[in-house]
Amino acid sequence: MNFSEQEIIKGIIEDDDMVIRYLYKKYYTGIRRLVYSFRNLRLDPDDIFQDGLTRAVLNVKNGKFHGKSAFYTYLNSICHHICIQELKSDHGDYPVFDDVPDDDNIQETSQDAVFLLGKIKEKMDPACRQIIDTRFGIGLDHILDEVQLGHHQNLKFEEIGKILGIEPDNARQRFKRCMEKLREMLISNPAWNDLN
Amino acid sequence: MTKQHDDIELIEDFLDGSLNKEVSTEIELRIKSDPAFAELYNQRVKLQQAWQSTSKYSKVRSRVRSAIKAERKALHYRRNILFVAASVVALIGVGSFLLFILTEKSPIQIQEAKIATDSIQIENIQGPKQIGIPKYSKSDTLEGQEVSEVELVSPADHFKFDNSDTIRFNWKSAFPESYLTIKYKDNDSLILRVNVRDGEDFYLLKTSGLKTGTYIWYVDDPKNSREFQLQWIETK
Repeated sequence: MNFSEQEIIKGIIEDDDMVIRYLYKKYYTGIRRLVYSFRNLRLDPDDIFQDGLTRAVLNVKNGKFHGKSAFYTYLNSICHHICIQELKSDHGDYPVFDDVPDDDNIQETSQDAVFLLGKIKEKMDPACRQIIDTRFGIGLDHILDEVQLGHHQNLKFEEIGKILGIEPDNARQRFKRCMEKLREMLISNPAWNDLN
Repeated sequence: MTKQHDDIELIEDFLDGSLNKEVSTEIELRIKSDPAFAELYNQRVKLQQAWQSTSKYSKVRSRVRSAIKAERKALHYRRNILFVAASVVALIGVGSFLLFILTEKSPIQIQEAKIATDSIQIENIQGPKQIGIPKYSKSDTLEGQEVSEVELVSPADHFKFDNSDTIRFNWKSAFPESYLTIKYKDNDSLILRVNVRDGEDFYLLKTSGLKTGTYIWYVDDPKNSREFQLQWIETK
């Protein structure tokens, strides 16, 4: 089955998994070649492809992809950008080879911080993820009307204590520890410092 | 505890909304007047916004991951199917080749089979007259005469026929094609040489066009020839 450019965009917007599968089948080999062109074993083609496609899908859904280039060109640019970010985050610097693709096509996404934070979040302790999520009101849409929020939609520690079945002070301390860990992880990541 | 840690806790309490109005107002003023404190506050708010955005990112990433996993599984499955199909084809090919090798006779075996078959079968061909042959062989005729109903079996050696008979030559050959040869014995002249194709194991010959005398006949091998005699019967 083949999809046209328009069908790809439409499928992404409509959450059609067949389009995602098609994109993998069609473009994975090209992206893997791109990743190998960096000649760096730290870059995993599977991860880069998944990250790149995730960003591309999000940007399409958020209306940030205007179809000025072919979808593959766009995906390729994003993956190339991710490779550079990954290498920077590992070493602060990376060797540049002559055959590394031109970076002119990269549409710098303002969401780099989000993607980076998303990856860091995945590596965090689930208990920390849970309390930070709860504090920031994530996954609480169904009860937001029933709970007290502080400034900037921060859920009060008192409410967090009720939801998690712990004392408010306990919730405060746990959240504080987890935020410290998060800050440490972010600060130790050069890519995050570049972004801020 | 450092001043920054104090400030972080203070900001957290402010965001929690648990401070009294006076302290809250002080903090709001400090955000406007103290750049270091304002930066700390903005970082916290920015981090929260980025964290909240990761929720959407995680959902999309999870969907992309599961779709890729499904496609990989499907590709793996298709590869397995192709592999099995290719293996079956290869096995059939190898099996056919081996079967061919095992069943194919060497030229020496063919020659031996030919000699044995001809000599044995011809010796065995004897029997009474048959009426009503179920099939006809290729209707070769002598001098334009068509082969008629059969009444005789393959001739035993030195069998005598008359000009009203149709001779049925019977044999069994190991070959897909055989040549039946009939000669006039007195001058060794060729009366008939006919190619009898695969599946045909007899040949009908009407005698009315032949002259009287002794004939020899054989299939393929002249060394295994036999004789029959033809005589006229006067019609009244």
